[in-house]
Amino acid sequence: MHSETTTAFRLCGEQTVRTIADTHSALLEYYAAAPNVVFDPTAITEADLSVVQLVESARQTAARDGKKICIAGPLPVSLRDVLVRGGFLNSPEDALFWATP
Amino acid sequence: MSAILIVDDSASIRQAVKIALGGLGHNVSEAANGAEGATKADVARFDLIITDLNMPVMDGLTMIRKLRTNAAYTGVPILFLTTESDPGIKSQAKAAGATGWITKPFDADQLSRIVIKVLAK
Amino acid sequence: MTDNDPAQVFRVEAQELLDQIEQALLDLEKSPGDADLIAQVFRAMHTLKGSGAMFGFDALAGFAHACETAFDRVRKGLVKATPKLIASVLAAEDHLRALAEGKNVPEDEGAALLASIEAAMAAGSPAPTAPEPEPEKSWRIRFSLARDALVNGTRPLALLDELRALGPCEIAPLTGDIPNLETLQPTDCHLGWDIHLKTRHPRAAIEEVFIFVGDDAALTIELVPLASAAGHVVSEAASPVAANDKPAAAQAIGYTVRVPAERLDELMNRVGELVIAQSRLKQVVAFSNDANLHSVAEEIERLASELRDSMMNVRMVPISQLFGRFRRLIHDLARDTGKTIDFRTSGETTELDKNVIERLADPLIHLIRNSADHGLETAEERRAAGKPDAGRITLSARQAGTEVVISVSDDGRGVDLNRVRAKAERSGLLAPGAPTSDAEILQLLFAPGFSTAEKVTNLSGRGVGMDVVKRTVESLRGTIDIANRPGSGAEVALRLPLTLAIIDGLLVRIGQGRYVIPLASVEECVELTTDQDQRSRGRSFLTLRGQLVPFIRLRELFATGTVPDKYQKIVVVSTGSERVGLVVDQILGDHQTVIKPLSSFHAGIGTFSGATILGDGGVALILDVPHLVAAGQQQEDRLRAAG
Repeated sequence: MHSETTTAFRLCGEQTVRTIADTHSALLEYYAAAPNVVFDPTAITEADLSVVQLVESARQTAARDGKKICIAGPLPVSLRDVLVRGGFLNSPEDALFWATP
Repeated sequence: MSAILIVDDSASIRQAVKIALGGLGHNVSEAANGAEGATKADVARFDLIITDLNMPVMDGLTMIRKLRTNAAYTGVPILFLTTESDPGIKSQAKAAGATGWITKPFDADQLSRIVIKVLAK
Repeated sequence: MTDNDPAQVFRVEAQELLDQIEQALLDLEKSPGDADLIAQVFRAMHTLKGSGAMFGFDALAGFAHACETAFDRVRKGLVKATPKLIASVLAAEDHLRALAEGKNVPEDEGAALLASIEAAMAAGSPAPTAPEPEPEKSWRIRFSLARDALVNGTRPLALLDELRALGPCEIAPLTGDIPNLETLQPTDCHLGWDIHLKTRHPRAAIEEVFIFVGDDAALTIELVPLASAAGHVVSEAASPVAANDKPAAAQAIGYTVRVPAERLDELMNRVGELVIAQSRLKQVVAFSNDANLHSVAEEIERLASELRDSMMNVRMVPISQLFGRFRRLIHDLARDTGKTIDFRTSGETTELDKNVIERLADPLIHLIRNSADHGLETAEERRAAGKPDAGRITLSARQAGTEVVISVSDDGRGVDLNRVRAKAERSGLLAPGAPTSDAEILQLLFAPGFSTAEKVTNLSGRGVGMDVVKRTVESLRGTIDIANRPGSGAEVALRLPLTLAIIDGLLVRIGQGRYVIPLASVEECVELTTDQDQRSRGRSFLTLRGQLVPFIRLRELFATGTVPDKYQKIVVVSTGSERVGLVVDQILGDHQTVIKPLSSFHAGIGTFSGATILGDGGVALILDVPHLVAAGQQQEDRLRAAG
């Protein structure tokens, strides 16, 4: 389990290039306050590469800042589809990051 | 089935596109110039817009730029019709926000292939 | 409504493509260098090959491929589109039609046709064969997209899917260029991919994938030696390229709304029945005082009539469909007769009921054959007569009121009336020396078994005579006329009602009987008072806005033996320019009529064009207006002549 003090950042509904700017602003706020980063992707209904890119950006930023980062909860179908087609689950390291609850 | 808007001042081009894409099962709407296209696009949500570049009232480039400022058309493919494969025009249109192009004259086959390509998510 | 049997859909599509090919080839004959036409033939062959292969018409696909290859050489200017080549491709097109219809075609027929195409191609180049598949190669592709790619609707995942369709891929995303959260522009694209692809497809196929991203994305496509790629684990399932084409094709089929003709007919029958039921309802409701019932009945009447109109529209097709077929016929006729034929058509956009159009094909073929064979003279004869070498056959269609007039005319020798008379006298159709008008002699052409051809040629005398043409046209409630211009040609005109099946009629009573007058020909209804009736006796004319209109007392014509009603009505009907009044006892009202043709036993009765079943189950005869108008005009002519 991750730190109890960390609340997850919920990714909800449509997470595409149309909505990603809003998600980004909210994430910046969350990131600044959170000791560790937990994404809850379960409520995503529609996803595209922009959300994957955003999470990857957060992953790199967290590595720089020494924060822990993980994905909590099963991947919703739409996100999983993007990851598979984009080859994001092909390396063991990436697969571990994305697909482990 | 997707909603497609064809913007062209030539009724015959619109008709050709309509026939070709209607045959694929798409719902094709028409507009005769950029201004009409932009208005229609505001009212209805299209999955793909195909537009001529040189048109009266409002040209295609202006319409594409206008549409790209609309959040609803972020990420929606916009193809432009071009008579020549002029790289200058292509890069101008792509800078305005076009996804790709269709070279005139086109046949139904070619058009269908491109449309299937850009409609793929 | 959609027919989802892909094979059937393909057959329909194949017919259309073959029609296109045929038209283009025939046009090409006139302008052999036309690049557009050559491209049209090539494209249609190409499509035919592609769809044929997809739906399992392998023989057809193979054959189309060979034709396509041949035409590709024409397209590239390697071979000229000579008349000989066009003729052999036309023959090949017939073979393709047979294959598309699933007919059993001997294999050697195809081979012979291909050989003739080959022979027709100038340089005797080697037989077209399918290109050798390229050996599998391994490619390394790296690409990263332009910043605005996502916003502008580029779908990188779809590009990756297209690459997978080319062959087994190993795909690694490149995320190193993604900025940190603070500097990230989240709608910009900072992603790239590194792909190993094994495929038999050429580089062009890979480049094709990136057609829209190629010039503003960083893209490299490199060939890598197979050995270095061999070690890679192929993680993606190999999917042949065909698998990629299928979803699109399946989608196209699913949404095509091509309706088989039988279903349309079935629907038409239902509409016909509905119209009858609605008629009955109207009559029943007439006896009711229930206002609600009346309002519902009116609503149903309106809907039924709208439905009928829509149905009619669905059935109307442009006559160009039919005319297009004759260009091929002319081509063959010109070849077989050795005459040069200048074929012209007009009014192709005229619309007619689908059923009528289909049934007109044979009569028109016969008429065109007649023109080419008997009407047009040989080039020498024409020259002697001071006419251009090329004989002209004109096929035209136009709408006139509720009728469509289709005519076949030629500028040939016209009908030789003396020869017709002689022939008729020989065959006992005409008493020798009997005084006969030219018009009557022309009518003899329609007599069963009559043929003016002294020698039965391959083209016309095939047992189908003008009598069959006439019968077919009459079964369509049409009429046929010949205008003869001895020495300068003849014109056969078919006049057909716009549609079969249902007409709007005016139901009238004459004596005890009920009759229907087609509403479209009714101009107006006026009263005939007893007084007027008495006065006009002997001279059956009424004055209508200053014009004399002859009228016919149908009660007398039908010999009803009844006393006329006190207030008789005159229904004024017209066929274009000519008018006649029909005296009836009572006008019963509008009636939508489903026409039943009269049995052959009654077919000779000119006064009626059909019968209909009324709402109460009774039968009403439908008056043949053109016939009655002609009778009225004759009456007028007689009276005029008598002074």
